[in-house]
Amino acid sequence: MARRLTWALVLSILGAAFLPVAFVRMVDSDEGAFLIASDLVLHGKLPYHDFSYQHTPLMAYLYAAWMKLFGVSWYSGRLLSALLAIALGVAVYRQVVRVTGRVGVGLLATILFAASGVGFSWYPTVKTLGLATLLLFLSYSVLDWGPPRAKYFLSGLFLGLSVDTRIYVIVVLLVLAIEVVRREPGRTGLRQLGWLVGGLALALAPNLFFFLIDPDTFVFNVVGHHVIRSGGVGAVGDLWQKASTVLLLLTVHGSEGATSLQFTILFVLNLAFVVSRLAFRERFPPSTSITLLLLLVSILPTPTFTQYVCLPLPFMIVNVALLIVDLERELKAVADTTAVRRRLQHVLWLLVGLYVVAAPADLYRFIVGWDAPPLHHVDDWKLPTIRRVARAIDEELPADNATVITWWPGYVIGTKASILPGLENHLNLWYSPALTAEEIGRYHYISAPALAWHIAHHTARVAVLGIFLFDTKPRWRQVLVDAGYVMVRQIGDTEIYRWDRRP
Amino acid sequence: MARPSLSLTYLVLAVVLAAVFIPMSIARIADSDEGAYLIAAKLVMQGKLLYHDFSYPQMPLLPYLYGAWMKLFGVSWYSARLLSAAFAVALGLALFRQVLHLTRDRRIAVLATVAFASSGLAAVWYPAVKTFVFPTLMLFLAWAVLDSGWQRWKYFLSGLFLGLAVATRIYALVAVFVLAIEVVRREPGRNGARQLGWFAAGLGVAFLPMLPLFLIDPDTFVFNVIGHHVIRSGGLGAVGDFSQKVSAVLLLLTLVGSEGATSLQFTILLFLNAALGVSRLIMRERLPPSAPIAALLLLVSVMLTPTYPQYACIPLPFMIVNAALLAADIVKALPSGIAGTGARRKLGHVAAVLLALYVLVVPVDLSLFIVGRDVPPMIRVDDWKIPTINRVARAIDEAVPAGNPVVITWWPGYLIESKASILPHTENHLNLYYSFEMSPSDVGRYNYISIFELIDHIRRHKANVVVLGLFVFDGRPGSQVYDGKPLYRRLLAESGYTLVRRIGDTEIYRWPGA
Repeated sequence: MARRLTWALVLSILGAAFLPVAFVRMVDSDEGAFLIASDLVLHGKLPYHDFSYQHTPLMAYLYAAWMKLFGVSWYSGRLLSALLAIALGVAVYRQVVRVTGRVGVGLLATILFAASGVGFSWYPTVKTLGLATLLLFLSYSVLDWGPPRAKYFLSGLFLGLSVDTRIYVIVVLLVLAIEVVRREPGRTGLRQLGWLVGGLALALAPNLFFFLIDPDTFVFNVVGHHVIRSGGVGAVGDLWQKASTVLLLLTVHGSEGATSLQFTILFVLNLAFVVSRLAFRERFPPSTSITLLLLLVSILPTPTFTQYVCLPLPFMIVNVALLIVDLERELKAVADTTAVRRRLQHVLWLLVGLYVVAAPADLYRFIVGWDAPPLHHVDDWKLPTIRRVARAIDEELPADNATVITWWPGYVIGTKASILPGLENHLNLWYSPALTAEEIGRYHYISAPALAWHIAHHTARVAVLGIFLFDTKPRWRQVLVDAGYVMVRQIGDTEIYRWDRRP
Repeated sequence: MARPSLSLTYLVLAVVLAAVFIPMSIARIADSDEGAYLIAAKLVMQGKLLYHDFSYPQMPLLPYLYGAWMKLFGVSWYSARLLSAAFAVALGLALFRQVLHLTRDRRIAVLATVAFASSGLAAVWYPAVKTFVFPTLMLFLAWAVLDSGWQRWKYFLSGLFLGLAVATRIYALVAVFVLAIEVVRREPGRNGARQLGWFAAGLGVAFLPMLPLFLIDPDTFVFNVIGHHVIRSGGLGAVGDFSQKVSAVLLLLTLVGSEGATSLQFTILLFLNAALGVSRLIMRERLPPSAPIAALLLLVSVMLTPTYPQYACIPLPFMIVNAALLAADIVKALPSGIAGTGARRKLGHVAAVLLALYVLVVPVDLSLFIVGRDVPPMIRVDDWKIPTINRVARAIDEAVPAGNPVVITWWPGYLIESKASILPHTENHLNLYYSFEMSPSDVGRYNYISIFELIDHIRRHKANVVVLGLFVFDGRPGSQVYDGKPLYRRLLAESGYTLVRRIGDTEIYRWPGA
């Protein structure tokens, strides 16, 4: 009974954190590209080769399969993300209970996980973050709960699936391989390592298909795109931007709402855990090395974004739980510790209180938000507005031409319209100046002159001038007007233009 | 290993504190208020009377104190800054002594002093010539002296120190409740009433010198000390604009941006203070006076409109003492001997990492206030550096004619090391801007200056030299601040002034005479 209640509590906490946010959070610009990729996959298109897609391919297929069952819509995609986040929370709870032997500490970890701004703000979005983290966490935790004969294979498989979603998590292979060898000394270790690699290879095998069709295109999409997005400073350049982001996360160079404070709390406790284990010459759990590697690799891509720390988040929480039980173990060794236990409990609960109380700052940031005139109006980034634009597109779409020009693909989700090829990713247009004309065509990007040509030649009869145009909106508005497009609808700051053949 | 003697510990800590506060006092960029405080100190040395000869928006002690110091050690930015640094060092040593007295643990006392020296709020704001470090020192002494061995004098001294703090910054008075309760708690019965009398006498003695300034014209005194702060909120009242307060608090708690290292350090301290409060309440233990003093000071700091994070430097030492007391509570609760070693060490690691983070982030604040960063087009950091300000002062002296030492400047800080005298009523850089909130009769009565008067002075060549440098806006400084220099530049040209020197962005104009 108590067990069932605990599970009900865990699921309630996680559900309350992730489900509402999934439905009311403002959109992130990347979500449009991920959803359109899934939509296109549903229509039989191939990532990389029919349209550009900047990550390894699993996510597009998983969300496509989900949307095949539950409909192509923003809410359907978001619901899957929320469920994956809840699954991750459950995995964190289970793992903490397993490694600490304490249900209470497991519940505490669940509360921290659910109240983490970087968690509830980013996992429920349709991005690679939630899925990649869940699979990575499973690849680590399965070593503790998987069936003895299959757990190493499963660990490799989960890691491979995570790499299929976000390539850089491959760094964790190093930690998992060492862990396998540590757990299974001698020749058995080598055999189990073989199983780990076998699982990994099996999960990575589908990539081979995309790679072999055209290796250069595959590599460019998954790696090259991230090199050019740095604006010429290289895939891991611009040290100052990285330092700024780290200082931002540590709250000393501005802050990212609750995320910075919560990250700093976790970071301090993780560091204390490392120092303490080092000083006591105790073994580090794999979660520590994974945290370290993920933090390091999260900082490497240029530009570095604070949202990336949602990948190490569950591992950091496991480390905190381990620190708590380490301390408790030491206290148990002492005869009378009632007073100190109580005092430490007060400190701990207050810390958890601070962590939880800070969370609304991030909820506000991502649900209510604030305008940054003249370019950013919060309402334009809310799902109801985007769905109104989508309905308006369907109403304006002529029967003989379903193509739509839009600078942000998210408007087309759930509509009958199809997006102008090359615009499937909102960044293609912006990054194209870094490519040669031949590369733009080969990698399915689009240049500004090419887009202007399409407008001038009325490839699409409907054009949506909405978000992700920044200060270029007036220029593109002029291009549309010069080509004979007329504004037929305005929803918030989003303008819908239509070109009608002259009678 | 033998423990170093207490005197040696004091000496080492004094060196550490001096190593933070003295370089900061020399290298820190100027705060706009410092110009007004320093010119006030200079003017009182010349026999002028606060409030009645020129406006001064605080209680009166600071100008007299710094005036006396500069009489001895020279009128200069560095001389005054050095006094502030000396107060900061004294405050750090007082904190060490008090923590040592309360915890009987020298390690904790040393670490508390290190935390104090590494606090952005302290390192950045105490060495400035403002009403922060001295009232904080006095306030801290008002509490700490209660634990001294001077049985007969300590209550009188406590009141005296509190009075001196209030004589510098009025809202330090909130601590009177806590200290009075503490006196009564320590001395129950009739003796308590007697000691409370000594406490009140000390307070009275400290207030006495202010009485003439009040009696000359009570209305002017009250307006300067209180009314000025009411009008500075832009019509929202002395404690209005709730959203600005919320923003300032969230900024200090790192939840909506941050103020360099200050926000993180403040959040850590606030958390430890809250933990002490919760823990002592649950364990039914007495809270030290430092806890309610910190709480009251924080509350009153937030109440003022507009609220600035720098105000948190006044409760800072009390917050550090509270954090030290929490550490001592935990350490004391651990059984000593071998059995407690593991737990002690583990807790030590957590504390060490926390303290290391606290200390390691402070360079962000140091860099912000020493190197700084330009905010074009209005702020060029170099213009706010003391060497630049002194170059302007020298240039003023070269430009000022023998017959007319009056200079018009929008920021009085240029005249600290100059022989020139400031145009009356511009002694405070805010007078011009706050005069928008006042009736013409109030502007005159309280020695403020209106924009029309200033324009008139320029047109009538009241001063031969005009300095167009820092703090020149074309309206009231607030959320919408515009550069006022083009406006005045035009006026100066129309009035026959010509640009004779340019130092950084500061322009010196001269009217050659009829």
